[in-house]
Amino acid sequence: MNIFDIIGPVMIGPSSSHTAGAVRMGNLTRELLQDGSTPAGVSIFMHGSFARTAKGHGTDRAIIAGLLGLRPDDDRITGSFEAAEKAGMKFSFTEADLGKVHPNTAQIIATGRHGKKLNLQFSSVGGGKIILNEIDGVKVRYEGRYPTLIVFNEDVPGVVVSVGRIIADEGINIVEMRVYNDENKSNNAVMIINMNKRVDAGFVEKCKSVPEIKKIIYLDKLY
Amino acid sequence: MKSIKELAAAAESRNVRISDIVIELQAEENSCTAIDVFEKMSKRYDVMLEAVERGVKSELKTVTGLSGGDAALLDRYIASGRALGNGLSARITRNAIAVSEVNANMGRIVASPTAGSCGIIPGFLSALEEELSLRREKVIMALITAGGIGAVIAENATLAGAEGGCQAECGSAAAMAAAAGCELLGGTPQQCAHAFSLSMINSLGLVCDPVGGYVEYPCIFRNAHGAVNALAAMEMALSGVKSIIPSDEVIAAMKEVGVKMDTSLKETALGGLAAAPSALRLCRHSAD
Repeated sequence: MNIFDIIGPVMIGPSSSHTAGAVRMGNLTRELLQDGSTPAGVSIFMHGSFARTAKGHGTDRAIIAGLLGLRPDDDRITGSFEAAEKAGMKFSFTEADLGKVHPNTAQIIATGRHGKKLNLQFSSVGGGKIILNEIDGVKVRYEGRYPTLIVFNEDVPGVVVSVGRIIADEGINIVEMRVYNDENKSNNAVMIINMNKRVDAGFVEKCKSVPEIKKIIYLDKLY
Repeated sequence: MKSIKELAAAAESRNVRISDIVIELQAEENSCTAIDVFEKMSKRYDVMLEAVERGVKSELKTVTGLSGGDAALLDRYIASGRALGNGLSARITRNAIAVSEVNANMGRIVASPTAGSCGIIPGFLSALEEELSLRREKVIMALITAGGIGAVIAENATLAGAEGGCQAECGSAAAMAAAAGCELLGGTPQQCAHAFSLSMINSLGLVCDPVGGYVEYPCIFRNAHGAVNALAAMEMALSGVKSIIPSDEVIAAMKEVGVKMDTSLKETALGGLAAAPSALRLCRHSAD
């Protein structure tokens, strides 16, 4: 039981899924890009209800606010377009049919200050909760319920064991682990590892010693 | 707590309020003190009151043009002395609309339990507090009761309009407000449970049919109705009126009705008022 999920969260209206959830999509994109604090540019593709009601719900302003690092309860969300201009972040919105996905879905393609690109797809599933569905074309599922490692690695045997050993040596339990291969048969794989404890930057560095790992990102619980 | 019955029984057996039980459970859950829980809730109540104050003054229309300025109309009506009785019900209505309008205008609110139903609990409790010059501490405890009861609904049914229709959002908020108000005015835990049921039974079947898919019409007015519904249910319970169906069975009935409700009436904006000719016409305009 958590009464603060019931009488809460404190948020900017009007809709937890179309506004608060949208801010979180922006927040998470910013965090995952890891290339300067605020992206240099973003292209956002809005699907379903997100496309249809974005303006009235402020979904567009909310995503931009999230990309600028504002939280769902920040009343500067309404002024995010103007703030993006000041911060030198270019953005565009396009209505798109993203296929058989949740009605509240957006795809965000972000470019960092040093040219890194990241292509993410999110759904906002109610109550401000979001799910990350896709990273750079690989289908994943990150719900933000646990401290999580997102590992991008070469799709070769043995990587799961190597990473698993480092986690075990740290005395951490894996609550849930999923491994995703690119359906397009590229060499990319993604592991999403939910853990029972928070970890520090030193731990993440240790994981990087596994040669097949291309990139590793640590995310704390979202809520 | 798995049920309202358990919650009320625990409070009665120790001769305390429902909020005293809930605050203890929450402190345990968060590994913090009851004072921490109280302080956190107190901050949430501050956000609620700011929204009431802001909404009552605001005459802003929303981006869609579908709503805005109605709390201000009620405020002038109350000030003119035309509100019936002592004006309590008009003030509850005004305050609930005020918070919902702040929400529709992208202002800061407390989802209680959702953004779509965020006006009911603040609208009702703030008007009671003012009317009866209640101690702030008691109002915050009542809010904790509302939270505990809402947690039981979330556990056993749903608070989401997309799953249960408006009965799950505004219906739950009204019933939570009724129980909270009942505690605030000295009702017993059993009376709080009856206030909950007496409120919720009038929301069963309430559909979620937002015009254009926006949290504006009829949402804002349903917040007003929910808050006044809480007043009636609370007064019935305080007078000794009982609901023959216990609250946990009322929650189960709400869940069942939500499951049976057609998808077009669950936040999809495909049926009900959302599909009315005027709704479609208004939305065509607001999309331009």
